[in-house]
Amino acid sequence: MLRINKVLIILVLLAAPVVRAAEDRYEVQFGRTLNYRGGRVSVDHRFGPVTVRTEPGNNVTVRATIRASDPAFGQKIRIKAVEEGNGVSVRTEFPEERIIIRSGESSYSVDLRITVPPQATLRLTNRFGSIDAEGIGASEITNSHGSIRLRDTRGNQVVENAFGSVDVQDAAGDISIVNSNASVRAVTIAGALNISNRFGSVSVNDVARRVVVKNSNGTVDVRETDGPVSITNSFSNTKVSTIKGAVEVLSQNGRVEVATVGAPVSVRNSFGAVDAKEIAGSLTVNNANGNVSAKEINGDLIVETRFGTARGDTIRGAARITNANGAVNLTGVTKDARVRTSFSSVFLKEIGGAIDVQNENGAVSVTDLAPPAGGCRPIAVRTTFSSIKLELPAGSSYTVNASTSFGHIKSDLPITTRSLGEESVSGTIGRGGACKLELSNTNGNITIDRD
Amino acid sequence: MKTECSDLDNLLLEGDPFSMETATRHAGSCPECAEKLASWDDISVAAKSLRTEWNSDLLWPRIETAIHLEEKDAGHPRFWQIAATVLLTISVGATTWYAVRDGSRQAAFDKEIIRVSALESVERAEQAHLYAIAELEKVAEPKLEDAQGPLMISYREKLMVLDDAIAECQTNIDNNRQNAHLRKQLLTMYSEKQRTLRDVVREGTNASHQ
Repeated sequence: MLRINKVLIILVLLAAPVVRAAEDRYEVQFGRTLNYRGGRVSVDHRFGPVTVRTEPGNNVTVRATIRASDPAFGQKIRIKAVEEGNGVSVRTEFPEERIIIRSGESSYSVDLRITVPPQATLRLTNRFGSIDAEGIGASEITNSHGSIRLRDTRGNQVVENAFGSVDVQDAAGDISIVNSNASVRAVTIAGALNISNRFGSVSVNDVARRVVVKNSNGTVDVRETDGPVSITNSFSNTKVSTIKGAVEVLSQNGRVEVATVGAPVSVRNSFGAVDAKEIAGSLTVNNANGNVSAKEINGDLIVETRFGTARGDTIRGAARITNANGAVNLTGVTKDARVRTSFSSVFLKEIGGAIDVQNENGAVSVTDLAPPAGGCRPIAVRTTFSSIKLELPAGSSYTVNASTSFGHIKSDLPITTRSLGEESVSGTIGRGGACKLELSNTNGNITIDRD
Repeated sequence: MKTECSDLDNLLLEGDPFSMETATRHAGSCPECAEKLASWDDISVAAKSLRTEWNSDLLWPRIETAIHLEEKDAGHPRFWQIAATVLLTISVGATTWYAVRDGSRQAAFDKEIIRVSALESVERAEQAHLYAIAELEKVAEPKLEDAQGPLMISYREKLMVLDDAIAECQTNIDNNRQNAHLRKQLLTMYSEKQRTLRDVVREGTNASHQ
């Protein structure tokens, strides 16, 4: 008898916390299965997470866990799941009136779990709760104040959110995402991708078709896409790499990095550096108040910038640089090099084609010239208030016109002069001919060295 | 070894062949001991003739019956003990399972609806954010009002959007105080506003240095 009493006491002690914990808590399960005869599955929800999965067949199942801090309030929460002429509708309804309980207002949340047929189109709206969907067909998904996560989607997806992240992975169709104030991530998209965001980062990886990103105040990172890429961003950095299609970046007040692109690249920026490398096509950069760096460009390099340095290395085409108040450094340009700048220096090395430099208040140096492909490499260099230094390969032939004021002209190569003054020389180097060497300076020296 | 008359009793008590042979040898030279040995032999012969054996028909059956009875008596308590143990195990197991299941259900509930006891710490954290925001606003607001650049305009716009979002969260919290998602969202908005104000202060300082 004493032993039985002990057992009873143990059981009561074990059960006591369970009973006590259940106080003041209302939780009820809801479940309904509906017949899907085509059309759209519409879900309208608030205050709780929504999970959507697919199951083959023609049923839409709705499961919900209704939770409330007050049973009287919780009992009034309704899940309306009905078959309609144009599909299935699921709606969560909360009592409008405020019910005062002893500890204050009632609090509530509804966890909604839905399965739909894979062929069903979905229209899902949520507020103050997350959305998690896998395997769904074409859908329109809207949320605010909650994250959106999509996986293995089949049809086109239109996603809109505010104040919550959007994360899409493994999508077979086109994806359109509009967000604000939170991050967007899209990975492995078989269709086209269109993202519009503000005040949040954008990360894109592995997209088969066209990518368009519009963002501001958030970083943009796009990688490994097969189609063309177009990015608009401001007040944050933009990074693009391993793209097969053409790239167009429009940026403001942010750094732009572009690497490994199989087609032409165009970048417009201001108040931020532009760094491009391994571009299979031409590179066009229009920058203001920022440096430009280009390396291994398999096409022409066209740069317009101000108040920043322009650098080009290994340009397998022509280079046309227009700068103001910024230096220009070009090395290894296969074709012509045309440079305009002021108040800064110009350094040209290993230029294969014609050279045309106009500078003001800055030195110009042209060295390590490769033999010209067509036998003649015209050179025209003009500057003021600084020096011109030119190294010519042995055996070069030019018709020379060099002039300066308040400076000297010095040449290591013999010049057969036609006219010779203190500040100007006209004549020929080597055999002379039609290939012109025009050097013009004001208030600075001119030096011609043998390479 | 020489045997004395005093050793005879011990040799007889030993009784082994060697002791008996030693005693006989001594008795050959000592008539007193020879008489004593003869008496010992007579007693031994008489004792052997008195030995007898018999079979009892009742002893083993009585033992066997007693064993059976003992086993029978012991069998009843063991059954009840097993039954009680099984019942106790089932009861404890069921209660534990119920407690664990209910515990996870309670945890899921807590994840969605914050307990009143935990609400206090959440509201304390919100107050701390509000205090920090108020302090930052004192520094940032003049910079926001004066600045005309696109970045500051953008920050101003962002702060307005965040204020709207904070107001929306607060309105919903008024009717749903313990909703964990709402509270978390409000804290996120507060953090974002703090971060933005810090950016404004930093950018304003940078601009003034340029």
